[in-house]
Amino acid sequence: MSEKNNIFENDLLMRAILEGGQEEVPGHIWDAVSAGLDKAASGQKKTVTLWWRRAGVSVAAVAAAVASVLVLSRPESADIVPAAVQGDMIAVVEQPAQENIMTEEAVEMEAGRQLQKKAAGLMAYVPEASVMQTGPAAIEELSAREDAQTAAPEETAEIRKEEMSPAAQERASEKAAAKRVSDEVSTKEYFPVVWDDEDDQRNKVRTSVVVSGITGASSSQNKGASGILKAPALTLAPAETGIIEKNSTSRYGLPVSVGAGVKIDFTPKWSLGVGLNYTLLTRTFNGTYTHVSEAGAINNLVTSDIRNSQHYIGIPVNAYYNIVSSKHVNFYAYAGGAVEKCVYDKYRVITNSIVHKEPAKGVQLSANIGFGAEFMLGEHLGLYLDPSLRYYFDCDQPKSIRTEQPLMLGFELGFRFRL
Amino acid sequence: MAETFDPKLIESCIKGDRAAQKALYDRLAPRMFPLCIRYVGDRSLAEDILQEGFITLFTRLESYKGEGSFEGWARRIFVTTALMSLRKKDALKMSEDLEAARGLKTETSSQVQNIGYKELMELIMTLPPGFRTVFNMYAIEGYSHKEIADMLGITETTSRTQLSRARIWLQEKIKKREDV
Repeated sequence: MSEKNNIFENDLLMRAILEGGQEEVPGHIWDAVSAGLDKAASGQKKTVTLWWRRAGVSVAAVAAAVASVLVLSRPESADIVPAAVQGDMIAVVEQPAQENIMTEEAVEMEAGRQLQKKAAGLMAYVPEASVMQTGPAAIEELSAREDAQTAAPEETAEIRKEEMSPAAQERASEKAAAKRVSDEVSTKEYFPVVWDDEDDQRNKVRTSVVVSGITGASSSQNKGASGILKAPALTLAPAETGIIEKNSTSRYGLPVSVGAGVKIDFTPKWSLGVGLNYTLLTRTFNGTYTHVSEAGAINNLVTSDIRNSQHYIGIPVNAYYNIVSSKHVNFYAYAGGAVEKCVYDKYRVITNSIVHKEPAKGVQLSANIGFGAEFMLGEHLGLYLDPSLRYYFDCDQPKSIRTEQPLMLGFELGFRFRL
Repeated sequence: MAETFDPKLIESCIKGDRAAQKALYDRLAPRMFPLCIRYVGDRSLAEDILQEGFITLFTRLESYKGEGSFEGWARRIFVTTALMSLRKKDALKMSEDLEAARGLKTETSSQVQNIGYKELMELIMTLPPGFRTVFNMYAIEGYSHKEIADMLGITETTSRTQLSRARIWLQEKIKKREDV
């Protein structure tokens, strides 16, 4: 018998020896498997996300933001800030695709599945039959398969390739063709196993939809602050429509923001949040409104309390670091910034309800840092509090509480709902 | 010889019948555990592989469409789970430990006939991880060199080289055992 056949026979004999081998399995393994199946079953229920739910939540978030803009920008009374807004908690809805808390074991399992996916992605062929074959026919098949593969360079010189007979060649090619077909089937059957893992893993990256509200506080909120109206009115010419602030005292309203966003968890510790928010800044001051007609005549000259409303649309970006995570409470730190654009700068003369609009140029840049805590009230509901310190950079924006007191303490309080 | 499994048992397992899953586990585990041991070379690590493999098997049982043997389908899962564990531990490096074994002639098949299951398992477990993996996949599981190369991210040449070295190493160990 040739040397090659000796080698194949050894393989087959070893295969036969090992084929019937059994090992006693420790009893705790089934307990762990059973627990793992329970965990997987509960995880699957939570990870079932329906696109219509996500879409519904997103639509609700956008509708809430739009409704807030419409409500808050309508003609209003002389009140500085609606009393109901001050210190109110605004419902926050966060609907992550997946459970936000992952135990270490679950993290390890997911990491294992990720690696499984990566390696299985390399699998182009999966043998259809793993039933061990023995006997002379198997030796011939192995020999034919070995010969069908391309010759190796000198590293395998000790294994010499024999010339195959035409009949053996035909058998080898037939078997190779049959194997390719079965491999295709096996691959298609097996790939869903690992592609499901990939899809699950993609979903399990945890994307959250957040609808939130935030209010800010500043020590100089209702103090008079020296300042000059940063508006074209500053350079108001004698024959130009505009507003001049008469004195330095302003009464500032509590800044209020509402918004929607997405929070993506990249690792169990780190996540990134991006959103879109709307902010209302208000203040009341005493000033003079001057209206000049096209012909140059002064039509109106009123000195009165004037209420300024500035409406900002912004994009906040925050990085979150999960410090402590447990079944009942999460503590995290976060930092980031925002870019905001003033889309509407309105001045209303209180005595006669004259409304004057000023264009605002540039954008407002800010940075923030803070710590947050979320308390789980149930499987799908959490209450969170995110205090933060915010700094608003000098960006030549209209005068507001931000320009007067750029360092502000912010509070975000609300509920997170998980699907 | 591979066992045959009642489709009704598999169906019950898919439905989440824990008793059926236990029954399937009791039949498969003693056969899959040696596979795990052969691949990772360590019993305690093999227990982890076995546990993880069964969780994967039961959660993915729906994807088994009845084509090919069920045991063969199950073996693929455990092989992949074992490979992932080895990869995670960076244990699939193709080492040069068998340089000294080059040039040895292949022994006759009678050498292998004189070895029992436990001895052979011990010998395979002592192979370096890279060689052991290729040997298990080619000689025992029946993967081709192309399949092995694709799955392990190596070339077919490397797969052949590792296999031949593993064989030589095993033959030498078996011969030494005979000489003792």
